[in-house]
Amino acid sequence: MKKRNARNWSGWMRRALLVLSLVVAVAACTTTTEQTKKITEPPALPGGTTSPLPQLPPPAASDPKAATADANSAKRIDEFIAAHPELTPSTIASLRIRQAVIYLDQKQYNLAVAAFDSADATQLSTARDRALKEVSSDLVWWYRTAPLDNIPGAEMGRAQAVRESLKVQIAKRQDSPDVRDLLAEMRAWVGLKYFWALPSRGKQKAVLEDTVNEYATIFTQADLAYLCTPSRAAGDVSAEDQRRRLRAGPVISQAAKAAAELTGSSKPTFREPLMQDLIAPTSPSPQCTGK
Amino acid sequence: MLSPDAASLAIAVAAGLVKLGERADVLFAEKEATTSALAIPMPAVKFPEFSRATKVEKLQGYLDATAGQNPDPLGSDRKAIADLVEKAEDVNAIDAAFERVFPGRPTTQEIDPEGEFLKALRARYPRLDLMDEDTRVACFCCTAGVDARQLGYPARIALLVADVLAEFAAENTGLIVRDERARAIVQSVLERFAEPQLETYTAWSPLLRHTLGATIDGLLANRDTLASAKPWLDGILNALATVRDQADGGENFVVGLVRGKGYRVLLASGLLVAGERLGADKANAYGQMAADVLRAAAPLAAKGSESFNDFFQDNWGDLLRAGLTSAERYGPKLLQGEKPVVREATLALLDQLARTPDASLFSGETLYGIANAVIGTVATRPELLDPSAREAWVKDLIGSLAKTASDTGLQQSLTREGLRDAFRTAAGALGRHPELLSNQPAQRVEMISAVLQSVSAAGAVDTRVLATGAVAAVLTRIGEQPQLLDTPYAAVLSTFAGEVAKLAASGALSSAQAADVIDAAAEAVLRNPDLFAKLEGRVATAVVNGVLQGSKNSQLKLLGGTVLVDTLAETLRVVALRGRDLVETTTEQALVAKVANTISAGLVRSNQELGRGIDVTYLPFELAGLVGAVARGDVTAVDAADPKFQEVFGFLTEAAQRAVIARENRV
Repeated sequence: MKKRNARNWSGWMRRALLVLSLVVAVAACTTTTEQTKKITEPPALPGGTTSPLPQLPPPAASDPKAATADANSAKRIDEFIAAHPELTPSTIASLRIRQAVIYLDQKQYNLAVAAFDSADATQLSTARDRALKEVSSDLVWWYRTAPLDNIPGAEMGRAQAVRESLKVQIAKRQDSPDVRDLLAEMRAWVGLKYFWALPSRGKQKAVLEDTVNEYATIFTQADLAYLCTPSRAAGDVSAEDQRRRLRAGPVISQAAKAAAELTGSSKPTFREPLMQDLIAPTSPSPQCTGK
Repeated sequence: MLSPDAASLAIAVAAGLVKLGERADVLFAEKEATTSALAIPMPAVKFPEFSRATKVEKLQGYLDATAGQNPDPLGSDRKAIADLVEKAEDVNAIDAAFERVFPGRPTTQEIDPEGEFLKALRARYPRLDLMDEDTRVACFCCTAGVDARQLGYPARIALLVADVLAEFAAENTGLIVRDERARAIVQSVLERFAEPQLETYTAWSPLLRHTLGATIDGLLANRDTLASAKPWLDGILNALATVRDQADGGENFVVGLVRGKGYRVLLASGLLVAGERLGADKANAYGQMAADVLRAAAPLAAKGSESFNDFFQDNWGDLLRAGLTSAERYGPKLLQGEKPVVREATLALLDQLARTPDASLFSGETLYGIANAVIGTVATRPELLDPSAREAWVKDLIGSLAKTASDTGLQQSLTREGLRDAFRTAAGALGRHPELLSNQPAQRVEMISAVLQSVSAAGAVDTRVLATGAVAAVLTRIGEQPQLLDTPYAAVLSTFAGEVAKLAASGALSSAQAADVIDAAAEAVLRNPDLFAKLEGRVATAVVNGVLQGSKNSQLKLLGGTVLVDTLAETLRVVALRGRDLVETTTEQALVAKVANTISAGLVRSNQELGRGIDVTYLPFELAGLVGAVARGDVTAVDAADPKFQEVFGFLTEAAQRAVIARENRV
């Protein structure tokens, strides 16, 4: 009887130890991950109906305080890295890229440069992080330049270089559509801004044609059909595709505005006929109207 | 109550789980940081009211409209503005001129791509719940895209579990390995290979796991004997760990080393020598030496040809094993000092091998023998390691070996395998007698080459056996008596080997018989090299031809198999002992005839006496004794019917009986 009791006690103890260790293990397993999730998740902003992104400036009708709602995000990354020496170099590098993007959005360009510089390129593995690191100086330049009234004369060469750099990067990221689309849209905006800064119609024509032609390469036939007549589009479409289509609207509008400056022999000609119809129609009743 | 063992196990399991949890947490945090979606908002873009091209056109219009006005509203600026508009290049000046002509700040338009997108989104999907996190991510965030790492997170989590298990096993080896001798070894291996953490690998880590398995297999297979070699085992493992950490592409290199044949060779043979016969206090020095050699080899293997890489992976164990053997043979002093002899010699050899276009003929035991010879030579002549002499000396040796190996004639007649056998034999002999290489090693290699050429030229069916036998015969004797290097000994034997090879090619001797005859001749010539150098070095050839001719002439098929070989060997020995008068005043042809007549008559007489006190095992001694008697002049009439001949034959029978008995007793 005593032996049986002892055996039961021993078994109970063993089970208890195992359960306890499992509990400890599970607890240990979640701490850093949960904190990382908090850092990487896109929290809602005060007001709830404004921009859902911490980094996004609020749309015109939104609460002006919203823009500063997540001003501490970047600082929290520093604190998180400092508090967790066990983080892998890959984790730190990716967080630095994330931090740099936040700084860019907050117009803290020097801090963005520092964050990009501290991201070890050899530790970055995803197409997005690698692309951002590789074009980081172009990104910083663009985020600084986009809000200026015009591209200063001294920056005209850089603008052209950034366009080339982004073109190369887009070609490299064909297997990661999100990243490719982001870079392609950015290049389109750089091209359009550059268009307005050019002093001759000939150069403007060449730049606009190149900008639109390159941008058009990211669209599938279904995308183009949607852009042509959005009202007839099928409802079953992936979020990624729909985002690409909806984001194209402002680019096409601005391109059309630019094309309107070019008349006669300067009138631009685009490779993609649908883009031609949408941006610089050659006939009085184009096939595509964008409506 | 919980037994101490059970409590210990439970605590170990708990600790392992906690460790697993902590490391999984770090890994999941990495996954979150690298692969979670990221919002990258596009900046708002400002566009001016007029493009610069429009400004140029407007300026041109103003210039045209105000041309000839008096006073000129542009005054002295007209020409500068006109030039500016004509060139349409200096954008800052265009901006300044436009402001001068059309004062007042032009309006700008700002486009906010994110705001526009949000508007479009709401217009298209009025019921979209943007407060839902998944929706927000789908709409606004950029996914991570393709991950360039070969191993995804599921695989790395599997590796993490495996690694924790390995660590658990290393810390609790007693729970999984009962054998005490094996336990220490397994622990040594696990401790090193569980570090660094496997889940941090993003490529080919499974290979490392495989490596670990192979290592444990190799070690366990030798656990009985390796237990005493643990400090040396640690030395090897430390060397591998050092190279893995310090060399470019070290992990890849080390995996290659451990997967190659060399590793097991080192464990199975090399460490046994060390563990049993060398003091453990030198194990660290040896480990350092091994690390230096492997470190030097890593870039050579990476930059060199694929064949050298493969060669080194399979043969590094032999290279390092030779260092151990040499240290045992010449004393641990070879491992001492800042630049130990073993290290320097091995590095020199390694460097030269990397420059050899095809080192594959120097693999395995051949490399071991060569390395032994090289280290052994410099152990007695350390000045050969001086920077000024080292390269030339090793180059002389390896270069001449490579030259022989690349001889297409030899390759065709001996085959590559045959050449490899011959090299292995030669390297073994040189390893046992490294002094042969201390001066002009190329000449020694040429000697080997001459023997091989001579044998291979005969075109025998099994030249490989003959070549190997001939090389072994010559080098062994010369190694035992290096003074023979200054005599025609090698040349005589080289010629003889060629002639015997011809006999093998003609079918008079089998290859095995021929190889034995060459060995017997090597021994006999050693006994009287001057005598065998006569008749232009063809005395031994004449004797062998005479015996074979005599056997044929007698038409009695008494000589065959080992009896024939023994007869040839014994006759050569007797000629060495008593053949001076037989050889000095004769020609090769006359010598052949005399030996042939004697053997023929002896065989006739033997045939009469068989079963009357002798059997065929007596024949080698009877017949060789008759040749000796003829040489000495005891028999002048070589005729089986001659009474004197029969008398001598009778005396020889008694001597043969004693020799046969002595030989049987030896056996």
